[in-house]
Amino acid sequence: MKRHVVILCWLLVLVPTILVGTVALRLIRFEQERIRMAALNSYRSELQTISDNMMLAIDDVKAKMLDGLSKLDTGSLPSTLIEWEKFNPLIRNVFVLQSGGTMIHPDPERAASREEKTFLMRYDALFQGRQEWSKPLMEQGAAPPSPADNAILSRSTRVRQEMKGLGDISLAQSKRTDADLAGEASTIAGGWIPWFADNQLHLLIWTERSGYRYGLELETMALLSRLIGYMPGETSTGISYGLVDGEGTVIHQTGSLDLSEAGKKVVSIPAGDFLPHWELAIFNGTGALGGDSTLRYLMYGLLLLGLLIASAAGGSMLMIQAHRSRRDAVRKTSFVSNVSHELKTPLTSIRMYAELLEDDRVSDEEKKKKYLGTIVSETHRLTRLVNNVLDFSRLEQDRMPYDQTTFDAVAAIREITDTYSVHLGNVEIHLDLPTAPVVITYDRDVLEQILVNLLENARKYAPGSGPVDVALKDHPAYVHISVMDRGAGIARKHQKKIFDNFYRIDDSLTARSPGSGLGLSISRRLARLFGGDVVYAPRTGGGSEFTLHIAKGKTS
Amino acid sequence: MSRFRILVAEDDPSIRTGLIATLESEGYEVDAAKDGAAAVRLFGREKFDLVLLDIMMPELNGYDVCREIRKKDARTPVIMLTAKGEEIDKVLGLELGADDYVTKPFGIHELLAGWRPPFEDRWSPPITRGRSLNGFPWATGW
Repeated sequence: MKRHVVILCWLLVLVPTILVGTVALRLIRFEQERIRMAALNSYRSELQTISDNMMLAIDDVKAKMLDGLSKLDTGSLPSTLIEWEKFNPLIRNVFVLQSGGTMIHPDPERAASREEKTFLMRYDALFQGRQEWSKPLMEQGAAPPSPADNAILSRSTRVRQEMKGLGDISLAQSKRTDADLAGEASTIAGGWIPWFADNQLHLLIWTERSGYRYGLELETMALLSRLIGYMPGETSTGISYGLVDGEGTVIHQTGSLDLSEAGKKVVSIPAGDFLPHWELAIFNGTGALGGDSTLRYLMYGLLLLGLLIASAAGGSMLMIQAHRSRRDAVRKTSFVSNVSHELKTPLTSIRMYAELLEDDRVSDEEKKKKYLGTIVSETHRLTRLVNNVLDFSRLEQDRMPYDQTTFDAVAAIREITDTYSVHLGNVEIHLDLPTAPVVITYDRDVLEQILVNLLENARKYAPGSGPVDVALKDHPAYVHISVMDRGAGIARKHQKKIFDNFYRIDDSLTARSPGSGLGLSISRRLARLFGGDVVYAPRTGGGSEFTLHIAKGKTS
Repeated sequence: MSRFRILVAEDDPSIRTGLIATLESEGYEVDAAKDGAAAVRLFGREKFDLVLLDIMMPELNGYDVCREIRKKDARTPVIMLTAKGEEIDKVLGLELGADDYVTKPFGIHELLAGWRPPFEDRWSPPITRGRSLNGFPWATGW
């Protein structure tokens, strides 16, 4: 095949392969990103749910505390609050402030404990009025929804707001009953203050009533330990949930991941209004999500490479196959033309001699006989060729009847060469055979056919180069029968191909020698059927040497 | 006056012998070559009235021989003997200067009928290249 055709075919195979591969890679990448986004969204909504649950719990605590505070009898404020502090683990400190700004409890003059002192210190700015007490009791609606909100989020947000609303209603009711009971018309103020001090979050709940501003500080850790219950205990592999404070320190985590090492925050949302700057986060160590794409791309790369190699290999195999069948087709065409030529040559002789005799153009009796003999030998030649073609088609269809007999190879060779040289008188054959019989088990017809094919080749392709030598060598396992000529020999590049079907060294339109390109191919295939072979070797001193190997005593 | 002389170039011995016998039985003088090179040598040495050329021959094939002959002599009629019935083979032979072709296997009547001159001494080379000799002017008009 011509070089540019080959290159074109390669391009035809390679370019679509590369295109398909690139598109596939892009799609994979896109799909990967989509899956990642979907996973992130699902994580985010999960976190939102946790956060909502926490929010509800806190709201519950807050509502109860505020309710409790608002119901307190202002007359016995400090003592009741101190009672609370003692028995409720959620309460860390309590305070009562007179509207003038005087601290009633804990008394700054004689603070009972170190805890009380630090408590006062902590909220000094608040208690001294430097800081706004802010936050009215009723919150003004929910925070605006974040852009990542989806349907689930907004639903949970709605739920949260509804719950809040309920709490507010109950609070309002309790307020009303309070007012009814105490007969007071004063408004109730109060709220929830997240307070940062010493890099720690503290939560203060307060209310103001009847000239007193009082409240309590929640034990943050106790509250958190309640909230932590809302985080999922079991986590899927490679994922951890964490509660992260404003400093970035992980306060609590679930899941076995070592966050200090491989931990990587995949997604996080604010923990909620009650814990400003805190975050709920999902960590991921294995790189199943988000980062660590190098390995994955390497994998895709390898996959793509595999795909490329596979299709390139498939394509080239197809091309080789196409090339082969094309070559075979060309050879078969030339085979048909060669065979027809081979058939026509003896036919021409036969017809010509027959007509000569028919027309009585020959008067000489001697010549008449000779011509009749030629007709017979040409008929033999025709038969041989037809046999070759028939054998070939039988071999092609893998069916060939054999008739194995045990006979003396030496005698057989003598007979075959005698007959052959009689039929084609112009070949001189020298025999170099052992005197003792060499007994083989073989199909005699096959032996004859192979031998005659080899002799024919010597006659055809080494004409006028002297006698053809036929030798038999007896080895322990094999019998070697060689047919040798002194012709031009066979160029190295042809030595293998001469055994191919239809292969002829000169197969051009103007081929100088006739032939079908079948003889050697059939000979070798026949020999191999009997466990032997036909091989070529350059003859020492010039010429060709074809050797038939016959496996001795081996019946197939 | 010499006899009508024919050069036969054919590698197959039995066909060659048969051709010689056939042509001699018609009274022609026949020279035979067993390959292309011998045919060219013979043609260079002697003078022939007709050349019968086989195509598939060792040494030089029929096309080559025809080319060589036409280099020396444009007038001597050349007839190709071919077993190849393909059109391309015929065209190639005629392009190279052959005057006709006979397809194997041919009968002797077929071979003799086409170009046998009516009067041997009036033989003139055909000038109608590419046409069958059956259509020669002397075959129809004479």
